[in-house]
Amino acid sequence: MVKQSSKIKPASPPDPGRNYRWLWWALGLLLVVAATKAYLQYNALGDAELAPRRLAKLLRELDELDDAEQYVLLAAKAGRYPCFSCTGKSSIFLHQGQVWKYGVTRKGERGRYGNWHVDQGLLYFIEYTGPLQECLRQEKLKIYHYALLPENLARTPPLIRPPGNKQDN
Amino acid sequence: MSEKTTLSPTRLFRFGAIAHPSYQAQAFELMDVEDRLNAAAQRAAATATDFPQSIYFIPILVPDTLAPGYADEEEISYHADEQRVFIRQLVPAGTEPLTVLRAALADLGERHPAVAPVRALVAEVLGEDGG
Repeated sequence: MVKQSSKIKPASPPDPGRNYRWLWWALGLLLVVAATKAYLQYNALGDAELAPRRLAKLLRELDELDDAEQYVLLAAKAGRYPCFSCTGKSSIFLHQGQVWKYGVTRKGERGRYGNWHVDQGLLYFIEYTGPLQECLRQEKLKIYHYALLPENLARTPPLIRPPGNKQDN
Repeated sequence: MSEKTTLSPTRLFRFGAIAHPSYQAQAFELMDVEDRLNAAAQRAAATATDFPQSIYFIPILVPDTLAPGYADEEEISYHADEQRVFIRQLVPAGTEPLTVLRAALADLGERHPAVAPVRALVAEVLGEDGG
């Protein structure tokens, strides 16, 4: 008896958080349900379908893939412009109408640049509109072929890509 | 952008363009108009504190077939906190961009008295009809 009683553990002090543990579980479950509801819902037949907001976002993004824009930024006036493809200098003199950068956007000129390019003295010209993949193809062709443009060949040394393009894409 | 461009000394008027290549010449002509307006603004000391501090005009010059794609880019606004006039408008085929500028300034001038002097300056430099 004595041995047995020695095996009995002393009663541990009551855990004040124990009574509320179920509450945390319920809260967690609620959060999971809420997060799920944000991207899917169940229709009258009980089938899962995308939540309207997600569906609208999908359609918008699909539209954007079909509706992109390949553009060029040209010098609005003769002057010095920042140059990312020049070796050893950070700016370059451009005559009016010379290419500063080729690019692609799915957000239009405003979404891409706001007022920035106007403040920089650059004009935005649309060169191609259509599916994103084709716009990217057009942009790449133009960036690579820039090296062969007369306005670039006149420089010593010619630039590898337009002054405003940091990379080949 | 580590270095600023060196353009006209006063850039109260800031003209840009969203343009199709076939409207390139028209867009570049606007740069001369911008210079004339900035020179006049400087002469008239229009840079007083009650005069808007920047007037953006960005005409959208695209063929009619592309125009619907740019409809949601249009904006005519006056931001009182920054004293900034902002006009980005589609220019219908056969319409002069400056006609669009005048109409937008007239519209804004009626709603915002601060824009009225800009309208007057543009009329003085460019006339009421011609460029």
